[in-house]
Amino acid sequence: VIDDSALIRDVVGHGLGDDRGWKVRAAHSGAEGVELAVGERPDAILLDVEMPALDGPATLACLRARGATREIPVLFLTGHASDAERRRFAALGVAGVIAKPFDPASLRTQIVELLGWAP
Amino acid sequence: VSTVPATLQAIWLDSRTDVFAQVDAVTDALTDALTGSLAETVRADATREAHKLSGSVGTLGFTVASQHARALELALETPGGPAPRDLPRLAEIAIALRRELEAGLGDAATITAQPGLDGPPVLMIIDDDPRRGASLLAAAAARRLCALVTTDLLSARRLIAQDPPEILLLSLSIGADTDAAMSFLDEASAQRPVMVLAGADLQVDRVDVARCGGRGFLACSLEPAETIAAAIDLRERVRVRGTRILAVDDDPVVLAMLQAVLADAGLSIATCEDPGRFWERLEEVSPDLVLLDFDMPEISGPQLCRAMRNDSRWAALPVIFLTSRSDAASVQTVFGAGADDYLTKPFVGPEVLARIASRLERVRLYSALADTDALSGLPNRRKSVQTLQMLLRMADRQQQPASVAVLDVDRFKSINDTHGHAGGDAVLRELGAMISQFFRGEDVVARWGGDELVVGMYAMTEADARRRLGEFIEDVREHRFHDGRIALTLSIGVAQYPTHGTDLEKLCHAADAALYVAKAQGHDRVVGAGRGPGDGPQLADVAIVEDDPLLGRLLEHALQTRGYRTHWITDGAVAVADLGAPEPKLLAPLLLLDWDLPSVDGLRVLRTLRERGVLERMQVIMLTARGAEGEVLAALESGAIDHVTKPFSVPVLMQRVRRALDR
Repeated sequence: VIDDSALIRDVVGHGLGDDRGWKVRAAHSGAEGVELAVGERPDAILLDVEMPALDGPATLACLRARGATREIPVLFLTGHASDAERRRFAALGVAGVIAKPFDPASLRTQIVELLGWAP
Repeated sequence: VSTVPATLQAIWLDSRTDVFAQVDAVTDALTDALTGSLAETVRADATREAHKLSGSVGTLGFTVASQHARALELALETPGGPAPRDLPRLAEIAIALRRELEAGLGDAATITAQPGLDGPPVLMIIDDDPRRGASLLAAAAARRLCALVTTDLLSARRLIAQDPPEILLLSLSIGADTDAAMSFLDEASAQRPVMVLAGADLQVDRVDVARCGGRGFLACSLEPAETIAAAIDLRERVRVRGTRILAVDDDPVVLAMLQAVLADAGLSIATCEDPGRFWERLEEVSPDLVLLDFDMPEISGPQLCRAMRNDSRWAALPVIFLTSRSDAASVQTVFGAGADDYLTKPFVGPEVLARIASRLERVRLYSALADTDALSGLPNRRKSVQTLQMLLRMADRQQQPASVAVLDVDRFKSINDTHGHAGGDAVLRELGAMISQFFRGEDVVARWGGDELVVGMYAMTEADARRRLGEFIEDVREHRFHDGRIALTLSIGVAQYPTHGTDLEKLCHAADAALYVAKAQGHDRVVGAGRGPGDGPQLADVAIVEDDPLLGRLLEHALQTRGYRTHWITDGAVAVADLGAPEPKLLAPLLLLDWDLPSVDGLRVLRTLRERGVLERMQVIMLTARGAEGEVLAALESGAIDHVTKPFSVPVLMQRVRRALDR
């Protein structure tokens, strides 16, 4: 999860990690996130759209530019995405969009569905 | 908010400062807009904050607040800002947003058990630092311990009454002043164990904390997992569930009441209404503890107790008297008969439980180490050495001082000569009971042979320990032993770890030396280590004030192997007392002073010493953290001649020391 909000990072950690069996790594900026992703090679990335400096689309471009992270599916986290925005995001090649606020309890299900993983 | 899962509430507690800062940013922008002075950058920032707010608080379950934030975001996002006619409405929304979140704050002031951990809360954390509260809660959850946090004493009282937890963890810095926390501690500790958390900056009287029943003095800087581990240890030690109690009273109402209270707490209780059947019941029940009525027809409680004490099978069985008398003579009879404690009627359930728990805790602590001395009921030397070493390790780990005292009955031989061995035995038995009752759960009390008793006190400096032991000496002075026939006094020597000895042997040696001084000065007194009769102050080449045991030992070793006499103090308050008194206990031309110290920090020590003119005869080298330029400047401005950053190289430090001493 790459998000500049500590609150969102913590909620994602709780919604997916620890007892729920997924390993969650968190980065607070796009730059840190790219570095982390290169090192950790996660199965998927939750990427906040609205971040200072490197925002979501810019971070996505960085991830796509590197061999190590090119193939990792990325889900955008964004507030109130309009249909037009969703289409724009889809054109960037994200695997899906999760709107904030989201329900932490069903976050895992939402990710599994968007990525087409076996539940 | 009440529907928000507890884990999320912990996050909320942790992040609410940031969230309210975001609300502030939005409100500020609206205020600027009202005065027509909204800068474009401020507007853009506020829009971003409103957007973030909407996403984050909504995720925590603040649905309405999320919608408010969204409305504000939409209003702010247009370049130039919201239209003036919309501003009153937007201000109302901003107020509603804040109110919504603050209402959640009220709920979150008490956050309840973690999901999956059912049942009543085991641990109540009372702390107004939300960050610490949340991290303690998370640490408790990691250990599957059902815990809750409250941020004020009022709701703590209310919740304890509603759903009593087993253990409290109380931050002494809660509320406006420590008085409120202390009176809460005093009242709460009568009913259940209360562990106290205290920050390094908090000036708190440790003797008061002990007197009010505070347990396991923990530093705020301790890792949350360590703090929770300490609570779990304590819970294990005070566990009463499943213990068998035999209650003996000729009043069926009292028995029924005890039965209700104790069965509720998961104890198995057998009763005996007829003291004539006492021995029979004792055999049948084979209890872990006996509650014994003081006044019964035909045969009295003290008579039964004395008879039990003479039977090797029941000699060590804990006995608590139930009595309506609390006059000095009755109390003497209680202890004279060999009881461990007494409860005055009318009693309240939680108090009965607390006393039973405290008694069982001690039994458990000692039986875990097997042998206790049959006469005094205290562990013997061999066994208590292990416990004392545990105490010192605990002090190391939890960054607390500890003190060891050696107690000796004055002119014990003449008691034996005058009253025979029965008299001497009665003295030791009653003294054993008094001392185990006086000291707290984590204090170690033991009989080391003859009339020599040892007390290890956790989280007590030598000065604290002297005051506490002074109170005990007073109790002993007033008590009449052996059915009121014998009056006696004690002499006590105290040494502090690691100041007066870096291991148990050295510490006891120092305490013994102090005991010798106490005897030489005329008995019936407490003397701290390092003080001879009519001795001048102690002399050292280099005084060290360093709370970290590892670093302190390293410094001591490095200096001593280079031929310097050292004196190591672990606590800022002790440093001020020992070095800064009008007649100082310690004189040294050079002081190595750590910046970060518990109770009083290094800079305050330095400033106090300067105010008292100590720096005219002593140079100070400050030990500071790397890169802490502010610290270095403050230290030099306050009279330090030099500083060394940690981690330091020993040769470099030694060169600085040499240079300072050559000056």
